[in-house]
Amino acid sequence: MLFIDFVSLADRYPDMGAVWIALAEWSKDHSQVSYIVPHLVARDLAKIVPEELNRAFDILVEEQSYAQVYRVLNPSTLTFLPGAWESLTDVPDRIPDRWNMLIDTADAQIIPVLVKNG
Amino acid sequence: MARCRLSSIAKQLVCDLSDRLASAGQGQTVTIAKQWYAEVTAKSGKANADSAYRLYAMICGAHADGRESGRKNSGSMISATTAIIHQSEATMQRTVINSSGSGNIINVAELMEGVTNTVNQNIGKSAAAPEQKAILEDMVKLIASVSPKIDPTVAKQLGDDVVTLSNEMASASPRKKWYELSLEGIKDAAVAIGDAGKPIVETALKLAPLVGVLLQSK
Repeated sequence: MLFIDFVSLADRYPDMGAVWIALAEWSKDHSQVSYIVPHLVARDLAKIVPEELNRAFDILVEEQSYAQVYRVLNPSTLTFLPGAWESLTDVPDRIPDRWNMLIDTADAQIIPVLVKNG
Repeated sequence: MARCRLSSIAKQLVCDLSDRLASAGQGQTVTIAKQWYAEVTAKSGKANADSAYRLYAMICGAHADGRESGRKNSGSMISATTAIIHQSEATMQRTVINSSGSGNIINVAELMEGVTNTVNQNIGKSAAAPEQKAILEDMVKLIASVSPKIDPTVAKQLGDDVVTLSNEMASASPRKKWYELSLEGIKDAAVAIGDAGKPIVETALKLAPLVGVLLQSK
């Protein structure tokens, strides 16, 4: 559950009504998710221009309800490696996976993820 | 290489990152991205750097899902971005849609079909007790049913772990450590998805003692 008040957001940012509606529907259809992976949402909401969707995510972050962290995909399994970093530059060169094998992040995919504060 | 003709600051930053990555050699992708991020943070602040990188990831969403090697991923990521940023707004969305190929992690249904087949085959050849097999069977059904509703990366994680678990169960000499790691992985991922994951957690907790693993209930 994302716990986002889309009604309030739509009131305060009426020019972005279509984006909030789309996000609210997406959130309802994904009631089990506890964090947002922006590029996956963008793919699901292909009708929304990425810049507009990104502005909505900016608002979620600016209003302190969400924070952006960076996670790394394991190149072999394409699942997230353990750990999340507040800044892209903080991502280490090597990350141990769940089996304690060190994974080189030099060419890994670093994914921005929005997590709920607190 | 043609430069970007875009107006907004975020898009210009995305173009800049894309241009830099286009010339990245093997093993340089992340270094270059970090360098770009540090520069943008110093010049425009962390919020703008975060926002621009997020937009970059959204525009070239395919990069997070390719099953190719790291270098090839980088290449496809760059070409996807380059193609998109030189297009008009009207055609941008279509490109984003097209960037989602059938081999992507996002194709959860296909992924789960493979997982279910593998697990069922392993159950068939396993010499484990019928009770263990029945729980594993329930577990894979639960994972397959919940997967379309959750984050695909978590679905993939659950699928990988249940396959590992079944491989071990089919092995002539199952290793306790692998049981432990895969059951812990399944439990952790299932806990993370909340209520929908509860039945999966229960099956993991039920199976653990039967394969000699101590799994904490919380």
